[in-house]
Amino acid sequence: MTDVVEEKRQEQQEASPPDHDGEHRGHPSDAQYILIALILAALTGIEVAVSYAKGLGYAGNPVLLILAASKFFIVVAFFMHLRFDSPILRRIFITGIVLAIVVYTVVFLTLEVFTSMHGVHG
Amino acid sequence: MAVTTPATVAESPTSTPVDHGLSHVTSTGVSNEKLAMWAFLGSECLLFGALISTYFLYRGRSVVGPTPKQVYDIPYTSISSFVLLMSSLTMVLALAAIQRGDHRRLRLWLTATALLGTVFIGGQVYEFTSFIHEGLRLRTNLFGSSFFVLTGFHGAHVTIGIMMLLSLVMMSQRGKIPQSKAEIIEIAGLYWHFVDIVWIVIFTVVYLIPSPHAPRPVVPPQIR
Repeated sequence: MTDVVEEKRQEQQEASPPDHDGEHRGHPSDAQYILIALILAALTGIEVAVSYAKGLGYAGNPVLLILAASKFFIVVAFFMHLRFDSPILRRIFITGIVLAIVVYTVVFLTLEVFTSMHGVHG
Repeated sequence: MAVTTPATVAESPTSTPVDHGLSHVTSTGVSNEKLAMWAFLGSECLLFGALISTYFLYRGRSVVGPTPKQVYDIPYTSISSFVLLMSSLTMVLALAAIQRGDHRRLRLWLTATALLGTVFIGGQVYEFTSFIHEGLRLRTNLFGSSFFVLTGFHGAHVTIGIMMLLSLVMMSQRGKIPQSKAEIIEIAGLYWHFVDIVWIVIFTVVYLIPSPHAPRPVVPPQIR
């Protein structure tokens, strides 16, 4: 039984290095975390500037969504360490996001939200 | 999912729990606690997805005011967003500190995170109060209902996160979070970062993307 456990542990260590031995391979340093936070702050500033840019109108919306998505993925990848963690965690989280997007897109299509928006602006 | 370790348990003293790598050996290679937190966050995507979709569905459909343009204060909310974003930085610095075994900095960064979260919640309370003074309540119109429910749910999540952080500070002060249990901080951090990413979406979709100019009908014309 002990051999089985030992074998399992070795497999696990090979698959993903332990997180509590003071060695966190691939994790950013404190300075890198600060740099990432500065990038996030800059992206937020750009978002606010885009929202105030009168000339863009509704054309600014895709830009805002892209900026928000970039911030989202930076936080998930670096602050939540999903980039460095086990792929199973990535799959679980992405499943949740994809499921939410699919379910609510179906709701919008059922309620003809996109066509009614087109009717107002078109 | 956890692999039982009878031999190890038999060797360990009965009064103290087994606290080494073996108790965390799982078939997935990830601790069950961390896996559960990610599964929970995956399900939370659906919860907030529902609330954001509801807000989006009702956008521009209110037949009476106040409208978002009349009440929103974008510079103020931008500062709140910045504060919450920076709390994610302090949270990740707290995790890095405990992974190095630096307990003093762990408490410092956890307290800073809780403080930034409190500033954010204080800002939200002020915003809600000013909206109410301007005539926007939960039952005023569709915008009020969907806005308060969405941001209120998010605020409740942040409040739970603050309580979690303060509990961790107290646990650390009592020496209950050794370096080997840094994963506790990591799991709490995952929750905290999640409320941050939810706010990233809310800030853009609710505050920054303008509503349609003309109000759309609440129900299709043929039903009316």
